[in-house]
Amino acid sequence: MTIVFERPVTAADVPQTHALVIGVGRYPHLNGGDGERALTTMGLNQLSSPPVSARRFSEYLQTGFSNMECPLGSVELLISESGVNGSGIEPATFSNMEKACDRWYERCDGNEMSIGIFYFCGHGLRVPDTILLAEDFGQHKRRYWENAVNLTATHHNLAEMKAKTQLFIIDACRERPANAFEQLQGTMGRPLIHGSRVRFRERDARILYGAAAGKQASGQQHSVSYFTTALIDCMRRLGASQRTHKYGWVVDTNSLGKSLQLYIARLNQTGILDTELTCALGGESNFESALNWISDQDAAVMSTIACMPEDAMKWAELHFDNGNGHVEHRGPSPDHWLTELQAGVHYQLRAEIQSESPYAGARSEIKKYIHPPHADCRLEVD
Amino acid sequence: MGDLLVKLPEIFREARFRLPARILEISSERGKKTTALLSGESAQRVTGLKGQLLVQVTLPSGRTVSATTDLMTGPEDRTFVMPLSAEDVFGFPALKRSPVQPNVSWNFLDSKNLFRFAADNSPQSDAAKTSDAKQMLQRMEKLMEVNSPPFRLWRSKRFTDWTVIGNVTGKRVPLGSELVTTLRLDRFREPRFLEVPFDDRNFYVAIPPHHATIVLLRMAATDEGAPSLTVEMRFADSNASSLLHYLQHGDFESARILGEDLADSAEALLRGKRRDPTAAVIAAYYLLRAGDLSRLHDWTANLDNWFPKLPDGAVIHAWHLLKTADADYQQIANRLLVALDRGVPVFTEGLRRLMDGLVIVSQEFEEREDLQNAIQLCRAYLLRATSFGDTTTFIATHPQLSLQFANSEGIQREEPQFSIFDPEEDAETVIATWCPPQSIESYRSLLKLRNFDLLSTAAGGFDFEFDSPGGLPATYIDGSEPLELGSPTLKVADGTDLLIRELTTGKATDKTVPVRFDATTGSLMIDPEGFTDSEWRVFELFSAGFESYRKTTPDQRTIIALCKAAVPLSIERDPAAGIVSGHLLQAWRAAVRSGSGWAPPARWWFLGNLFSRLEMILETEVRPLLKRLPGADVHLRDLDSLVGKRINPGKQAIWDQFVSRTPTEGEE
Repeated sequence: MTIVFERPVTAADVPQTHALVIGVGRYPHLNGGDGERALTTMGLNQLSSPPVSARRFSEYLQTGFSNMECPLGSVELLISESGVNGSGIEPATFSNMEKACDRWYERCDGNEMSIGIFYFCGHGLRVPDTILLAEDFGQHKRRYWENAVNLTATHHNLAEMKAKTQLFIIDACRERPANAFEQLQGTMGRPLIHGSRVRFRERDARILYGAAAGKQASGQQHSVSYFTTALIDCMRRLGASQRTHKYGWVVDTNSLGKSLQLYIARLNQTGILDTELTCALGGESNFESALNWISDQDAAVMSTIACMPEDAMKWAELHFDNGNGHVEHRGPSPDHWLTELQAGVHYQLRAEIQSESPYAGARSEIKKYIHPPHADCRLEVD
Repeated sequence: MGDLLVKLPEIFREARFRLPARILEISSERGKKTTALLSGESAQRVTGLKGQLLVQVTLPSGRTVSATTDLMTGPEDRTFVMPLSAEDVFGFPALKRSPVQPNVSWNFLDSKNLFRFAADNSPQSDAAKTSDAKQMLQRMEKLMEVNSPPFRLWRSKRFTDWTVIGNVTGKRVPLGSELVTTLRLDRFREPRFLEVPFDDRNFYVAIPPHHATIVLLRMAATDEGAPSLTVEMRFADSNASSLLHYLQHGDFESARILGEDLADSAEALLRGKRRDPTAAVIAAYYLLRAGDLSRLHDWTANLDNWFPKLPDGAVIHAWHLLKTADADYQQIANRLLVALDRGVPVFTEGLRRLMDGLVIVSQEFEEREDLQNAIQLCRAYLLRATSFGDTTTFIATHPQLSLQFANSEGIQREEPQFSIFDPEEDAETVIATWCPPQSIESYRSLLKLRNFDLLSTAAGGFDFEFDSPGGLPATYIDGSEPLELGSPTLKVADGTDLLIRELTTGKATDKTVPVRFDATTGSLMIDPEGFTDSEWRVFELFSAGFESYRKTTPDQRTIIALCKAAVPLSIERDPAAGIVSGHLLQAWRAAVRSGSGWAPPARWWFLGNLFSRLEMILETEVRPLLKRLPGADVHLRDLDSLVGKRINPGKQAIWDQFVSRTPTEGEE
């Protein structure tokens, strides 16, 4: 058992947020592994990003997560990492995942207002259920799928868990394996929680996928994955839904999903990545749940500043000013200005057109209230 | 204090859709919020808020548009018109794709009306936009006259019985870098699947019954070179389309604002036994996934019973039962099997729920083989289902899918197909591969596993698929000269391993199968010995027996050249790479020299697909290339002439005349 954070329960009826965080980079039975090779590896290799990503997410929860109504109660961490021994963290074998999930279930089952966060980063497949591969996947030649988690069934069976807010974060590929047809027979993977005659209850049980179905998740080697980076950024600054009078800006389960999609789309728009990132939202939800609160200072909004017509961008100098010291400008460029503005503030935005242009002399100025998830600022210049 | 009256701009008055909005107080500490459904027809009254308000609309495309207004103290109501343009809603003027939901560029109007709508309603002050719109409209209307190749429509009974029940032809128009086809499908009494050939495989797209549907097919080349296809659909109820999109991209909050309203009307529709179950099905899926289950009442049973050909009704009914206390698993299993019997569900959510439901009830009845078989069937389709698309969409070479994962008795196998791969024009052998259609994907994977890429053969020549194993057509191009084969002998490689060895080493094997040419039917007949199982067989068709096919007519050569030009373009579209341009010009010149024009043959979906792609390429790639050449006027005239000779594939007589004409002397 590797509980990296645990808050003593002051009273049984106090809801808490409990997280189970799993990062699998070491796969002894897949390509490059030090164990006996699996029946087929499906072309899957060792990964360096998931352990880093899982640790980063766990750290974020412990230091940055802020939910006054449902504070962080525990973080349990499982990490499988190549070349690392004796880190003190239990490896993410199927058996360890199963036991950790049982403990997580027990914690979440204490109060229906509690929040359960299940985070996984590692190899994933879609066959068509979503399958997550534990460290010891491929160990058994005659039981190929034994150490694979069937997330779809796990998600179904967790309908009985008392905590009504369950957030599943799956930072893994969702490709269909190209050359494992014979192995695809029968039921694939096992649920972490078994259920019989599951009683379905209303719950907020969304799944945030780090890749759309049939696509790959990605990240730089030995770095936090793009999706987990986006997730933390949205939880911490960019994913607010609205401002509440009690605690400031609230990130709820719906706004987190929306902002994540937007974040990924903007990352693609910048063209700085070699590959196109995708993400998807699934699961079921009968209501929105508050997840995290952000202070007025930290709350920011992904913003796009552009001229109308867009052609004028080539000659336009763009400015913004929030009247409180946040002032920036950008020189002419055909591209939209993708930036971040402070949430809940009126900004003065201005476009000034260079003299030698078809729009010479044109000038545009608007005042805009900046509110998440996205501020689309259009400056009409003709 | 007065209330806020919110509505969409006047330009949306005629539109039938409504958009979910959040309205938030931003000037008060209360941070109060409410929701509303906005329409262009009438204003929505918002009560209980005060001060400065933010009105935020999330469009079905995932885009969020916000605006602020003040609600001053005083007795008068204040009307606020949400500043939304046609561009905001439709991605005007170029059917821009939403970065969040790439398959949603339009939701409410078909493309022709969309542009007319946008052109007529653009603000006059925005002269450029209006001008663009009108030009686009004119161009579209002109090009709308072009018919698309026919697309086949299939009917599914159970998952294993598929029948072609007709064709549908649409209008096709190049738009930017895309080729956009609009299809209008009449109302059917039961669901249909539209077969869309694309990039050497088929997309099968479910079409809901009981109401006319408009389908938009958007084909585009991507930066990576591989073409992409997106399928968009307009249902009779545009709000149902929107709700589906909100659910697809996980915006449950917006779905709830719209869904509650739709659920009301769906319930009313069903109570009135109205014959449009599509909106009710979407509303029910919404309630199962994100809404108030108690609102399902008894109408899921009605949906199931009153529309006995709609699989989704039975799936929804089963899931409603599953979510109730003391669920009767026997009854649920029966409803799920009834759904299976009706065919593949219209919505992906239904297919997913059908399988999940079967898995759940099978845990209760472990001994029931029918449930296990049903799970395997669903899995086969889900494995091939795309994650995008408004309705169930799966990719295959034939809609009756692989059951290799479901080999229990009672599940039919598919009919095999015959493929011929001709790696090089001057190769000594032609490799023919017999494999059942359900194995083609496995086949590709195996080839890829052994570093033998099927695309490399396709890029060099043909990839023909014949309808039956025993009846090879005599000709390679419909209507061209028959082959003169004599009595060739085919050598057979037995089994998968040999197949690979044959393909990679070229070694012959000692098995032979007699082949004869049937002059009356014009078919190459191969004894179907050993063709009854699901194994692959490889034949080497010695070039001696196939030489005559190389003696092609100029028409055939033109088509071959065009095909060859089109295929590599799908892989490598960099105009700077001279090879691609060279292919194009070669193809174009060959076509001009032949003076024949060209047409997408109706029966040959593969070639039809290539022509579709090529037509787009001619407009987007060749034309700019020709403009830069010396004597551009002549070239462009030739190109226009060539494009102008497109033949409506529906006019078979003209096509027959075209392909059967005798080459004139001197033609190459």
